[in-house]
Amino acid sequence: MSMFGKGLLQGLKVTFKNLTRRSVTAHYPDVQPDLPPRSRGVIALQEENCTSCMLCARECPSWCITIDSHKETIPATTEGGRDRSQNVLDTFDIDYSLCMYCSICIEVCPFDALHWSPEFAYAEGDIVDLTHDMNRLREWMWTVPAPQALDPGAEPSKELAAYEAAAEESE
Amino acid sequence: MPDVVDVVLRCVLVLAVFMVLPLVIGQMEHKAMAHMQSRVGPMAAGGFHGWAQLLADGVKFVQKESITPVAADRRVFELAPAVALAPYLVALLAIPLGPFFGQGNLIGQDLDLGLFFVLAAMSVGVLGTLMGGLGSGNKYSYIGGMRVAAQLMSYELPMVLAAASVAMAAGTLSLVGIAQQWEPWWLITQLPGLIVFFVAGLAELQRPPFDAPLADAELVMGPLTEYGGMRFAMFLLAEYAGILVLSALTTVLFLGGWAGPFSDHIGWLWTLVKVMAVAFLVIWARVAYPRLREDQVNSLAWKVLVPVALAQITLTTVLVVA
Amino acid sequence: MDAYLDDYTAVGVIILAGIVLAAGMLGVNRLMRPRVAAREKQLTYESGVDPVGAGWAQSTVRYYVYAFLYVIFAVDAVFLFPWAVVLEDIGRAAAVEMGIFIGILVVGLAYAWRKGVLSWT
Repeated sequence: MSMFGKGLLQGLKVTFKNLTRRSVTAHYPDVQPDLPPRSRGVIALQEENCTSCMLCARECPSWCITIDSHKETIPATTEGGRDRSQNVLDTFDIDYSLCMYCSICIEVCPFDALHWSPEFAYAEGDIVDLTHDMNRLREWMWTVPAPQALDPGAEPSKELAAYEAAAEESE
Repeated sequence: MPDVVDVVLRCVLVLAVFMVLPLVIGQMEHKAMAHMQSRVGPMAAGGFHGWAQLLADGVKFVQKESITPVAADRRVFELAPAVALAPYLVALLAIPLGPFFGQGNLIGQDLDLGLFFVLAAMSVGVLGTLMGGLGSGNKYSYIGGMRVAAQLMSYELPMVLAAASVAMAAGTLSLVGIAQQWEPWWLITQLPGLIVFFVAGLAELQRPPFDAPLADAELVMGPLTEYGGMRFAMFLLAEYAGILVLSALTTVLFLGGWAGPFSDHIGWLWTLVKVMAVAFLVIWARVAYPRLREDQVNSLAWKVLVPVALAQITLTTVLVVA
Repeated sequence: MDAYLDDYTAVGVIILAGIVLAAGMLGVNRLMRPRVAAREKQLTYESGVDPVGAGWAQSTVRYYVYAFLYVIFAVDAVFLFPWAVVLEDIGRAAAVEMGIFIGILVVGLAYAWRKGVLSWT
């Protein structure tokens, strides 16, 4: 009889073992999820770095980025110098109802203006509210984790060296 | 003239048990099935681990629209859920709970024909599903109804035969009498009967692994396809009430009912514990086993269960007469 | 006669209670449910496509065999119950008689089995 009904008893044994073990369910929202570092939650914009080169808007496969800017002239700082022109952002919208979180915009940005933030809880009741404007995107910057530490023994980056040199000079 | 107040009070108690215990079994199913599948089941309704989930479901079902399709036979379609539900309430009347602190047995009504009556009442419940299947005017329901009819008729037989074996051993049809006549060695001599009764009962209730007529993947929902709202809820409640009646019958017939230490005072508690244990087995069987195919269902009944039940009757005859 | 049927007052009351319960549940539903009439709702369900043909279909005749066998054995069971209750008092002769009775029916079942009607639903 044991040979005959073995499969039946095995089924019962497996299910009973599962009954006595802890369940694997994550109890969100009572318990916040344990996300890996650098998870992709929302894209943050550091508008100080943005020069409106439009690379991100161009490369986005979903066409979810809208950029509008105007040029401002900065008068020359030295005698006989050239006036500088600078792009100033008017509009930078990311429409998260279209965004597919592919990271292309962040990868192509040459000025490190876009960053990933692990925040994911920005669901809205109205689809219109899913388009984040420039200010909201700047707010997400505060949640962006610090950049990865360099390997021990690595040379510090050129930008950092130049910044520190300029800081020393101005002191 | 019987004491009418006493009768009405007992019936109200039976009604209360009928409304509460199937919900407890249903909640146990949610939670036990969930933990067997490494998840947690309902957690939100009622705050503490979702204890009020089925009550919330009831409230939801009450306010749903009930649609009767044009092609359906109106009266039959609308009466089917009531015909499926009420017989289990009637069956519960004759099932004893056991001694209550030395005050005699807790039972709706101790009928001399108890066993026969309960089996007959359960058979009427079959009609409800049949009415739903054939009265829906839907091909899926029709095929489901045919399959339900074949399955339920086929399994009625082993159930009745296994129950007859116990009646033979006890020498009475009264459920209280059978539970009082119970001896612990019956667990061995009536074991085939117990297995046959339990399996046949599972099939009578169309519980997995015998739910081929209701199979989602095959027949949408079989005879229940066209039902929605309260009528659907009544069919589901009938399923859980059926589990309750089956577990109670198995307990009283084969497991000795209220046998146990201090049974004079807490016999009713022993019965409840055993009923819940058998109900847990019913839920366990649902989780552990895949669904039987339609032809396997019928061949299991006629080729395995009926011969085993007849063998059990022969064995019991020999034991009683010798 | 009175004393015998006294037991069944409870049965009568519980049947009434069952009817009241079912009517109550359906009644509360009728009071609380919305009623938005729409032609599409009344159509027969056929997996989302428009239903074709009548609401019934021809089905195979194989199901009648089960009904047939069931009726035979149900009659057997009806005779089995009273016999089972008094078996201990009436002794071996009755056991042998019932054995013959069941044996005849089992021969019928075996015949059906051999003929293959119990296979494939």
